[in-house]
Amino acid sequence: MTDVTRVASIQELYDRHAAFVYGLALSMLGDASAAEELTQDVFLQCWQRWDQYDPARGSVRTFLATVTRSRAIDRIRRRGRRVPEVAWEEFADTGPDPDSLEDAVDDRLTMQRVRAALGALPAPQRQALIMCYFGGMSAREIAQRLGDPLGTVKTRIRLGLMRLREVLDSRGEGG
Amino acid sequence: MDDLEHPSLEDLTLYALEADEPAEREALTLHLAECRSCRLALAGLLPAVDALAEAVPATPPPPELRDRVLAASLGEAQTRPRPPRRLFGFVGWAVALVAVAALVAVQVHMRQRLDASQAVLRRQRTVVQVLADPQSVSMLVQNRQLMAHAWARVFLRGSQAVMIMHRVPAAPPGQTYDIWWMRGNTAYRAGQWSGRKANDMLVLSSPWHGFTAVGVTLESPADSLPSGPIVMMGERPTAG
Ligand SMILES: [Zn+2]
Repeated sequence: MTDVTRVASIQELYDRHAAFVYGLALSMLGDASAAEELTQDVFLQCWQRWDQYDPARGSVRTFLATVTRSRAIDRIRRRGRRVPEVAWEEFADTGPDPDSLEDAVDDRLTMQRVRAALGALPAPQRQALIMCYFGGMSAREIAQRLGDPLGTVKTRIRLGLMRLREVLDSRGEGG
Repeated sequence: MDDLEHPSLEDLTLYALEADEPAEREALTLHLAECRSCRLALAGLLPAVDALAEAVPATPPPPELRDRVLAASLGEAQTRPRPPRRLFGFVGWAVALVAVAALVAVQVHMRQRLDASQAVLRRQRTVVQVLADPQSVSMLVQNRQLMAHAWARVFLRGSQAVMIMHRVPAAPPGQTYDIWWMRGNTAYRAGQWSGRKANDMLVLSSPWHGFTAVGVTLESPADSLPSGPIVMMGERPTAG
């Protein structure tokens, strides 16, 4: 690949996915300039490996989300702040509304569908899952922070992820 | 591993979300290297983990960022990967490399210390992705005569490669293990391993497309070309 086509491909990659990457970075870091820096890092890293990227092995979006989350967690742990910026209560706003779940039945994972699935979880499960995914906290750290037993927190995370998986898998299986 | 006691679904869930502790993670990684059914169970959890990223609203970044990213990507164009090295050749290069290495040694060392904890985190994530992919190809790397109880497994997934070490004896003082993508007389460095832990995992460089085997040699740190004995070896499985 020549440099010209490389630049064209990063441009396309950026235009298509920058808002997704930046949105995720912003919710994890809670700081616009840190999120910008991270977005830049993510695209440069992906671009460096672009010629080795195999679309058959997973969506670009998943790949970008994984890189973004790892880099955000690196930053969170490096600066020693382990409090997630994401207000987990926000996810309750969508509420356990069965209609929104049905409407969202679609081939693509949409924000509404994932948020509805999260919103339908019991609050402690949703909280544990969000502290873990967006806050980059381990089960032990969550237990310490909430003052709950470690075993309880682990169970909440497992039940939360299982339920999320069920809801997301149920698409296209009638109802 | 004598008996396979499988981890609970709870353990696998924490592993998938990277919410477990380092010691638990290490034990589970070794188990995964040997247990296909747990690798498949892990693969079944990852889509739900990935879906969580979709829960936050997309937010367009400031327009200036686009220019910065594109400009930086042009600057990066100069630093493309280096070509493979020939085994036992180019000694002149090695001398020159050692001289350059001495100049930059102090800086590199300091940076490595700062980056160490992040490198561990990234390594773990790559290992999860590669182990959990049912499409990954597994290679056994060992030497029954030299190290009866030791094994290593290399997992290949597209441009990603990870190596899991199990009960590999410590390297002799002053030496390290070097890992190579090999074909005939040509070798491409895949990674370096301190050999101070019996069980470990490392992320290898992207597999050189032409390799037919993975070799492990014992080297003195100053060696920039493979010159030590091959102590472990594994053949690349034929495609299929
Ligand atoms: Zn197992």
